[in-house]
Amino acid sequence: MTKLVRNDQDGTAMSTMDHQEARGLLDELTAIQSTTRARLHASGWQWLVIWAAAFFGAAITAMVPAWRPVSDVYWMFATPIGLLLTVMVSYRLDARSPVRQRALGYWITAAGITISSLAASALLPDEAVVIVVWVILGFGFAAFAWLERVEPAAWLLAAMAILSGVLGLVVEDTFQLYPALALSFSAALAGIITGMKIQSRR
Amino acid sequence: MSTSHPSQLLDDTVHQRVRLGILAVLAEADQADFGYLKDTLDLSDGNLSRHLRVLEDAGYVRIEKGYENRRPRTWVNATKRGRKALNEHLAALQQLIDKVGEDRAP
Repeated sequence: MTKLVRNDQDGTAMSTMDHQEARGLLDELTAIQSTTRARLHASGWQWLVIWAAAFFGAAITAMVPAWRPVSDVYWMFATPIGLLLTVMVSYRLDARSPVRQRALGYWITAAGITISSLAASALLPDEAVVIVVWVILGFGFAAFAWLERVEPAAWLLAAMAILSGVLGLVVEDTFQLYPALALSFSAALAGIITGMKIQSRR
Repeated sequence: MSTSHPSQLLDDTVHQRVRLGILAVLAEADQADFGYLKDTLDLSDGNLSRHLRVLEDAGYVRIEKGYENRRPRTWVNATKRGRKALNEHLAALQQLIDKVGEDRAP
């Protein structure tokens, strides 16, 4: 059997290790890392609630004819309010958490979503914008889910982004499609939030 | 040409069980609170401080002390060098396991 003998750097004891101990140590480290990962993302669902509500609001304002004027300017108000609330919730969670992750990836994704949505609104006709915005949001939130280490949610959201684009090409009246897509994304986020909450309680 | 045994690749500073645990936590989270490390690794304050000092002296972790909401807090971060050392150490452990598997193969 391969036996490994090492000096402990600052102690007097000699440590020995064979391959089984090495395997045991690797398993132990994996367990420590998964505990830390779970702690790190335990509250990740909280800020998603803001956007599930924002998507639901987009669907409702587009579905009710009387609220159509609100729908036209909805994202002009919902985006900054949503971003502000997200930052506030994230800071509050960060202050309480004993482990932290760099926020750079989240900031880059948020900036990507905002800039590409603004560019799409400025450059594309309205009938295209109502679809493209869901493609951007789908991929953007897939990136967020990836950062939160919820891979199934990331795949689901990316698939929904692609499906939104395909539907936009097939369906003639894209304005009719918009509330359905908003509702679908809101429901998807609600499902993801529920899944993350259940996972964090385990 | 002789090939070195995987055990030769193990880093003495990282190899210690507690220090490996500290670096494993910091590989997952960019920053960990002193209290979290203490609870997760089931250590006393003094024991954790001693191991952190060894890692800090080796340039593997950076310790930041400060106040948050009027509470003193100590944050521990892994340096780039610390992450590299952990990854190399884990690779060496894996090589060690693989080598024994090869030796045992008929």
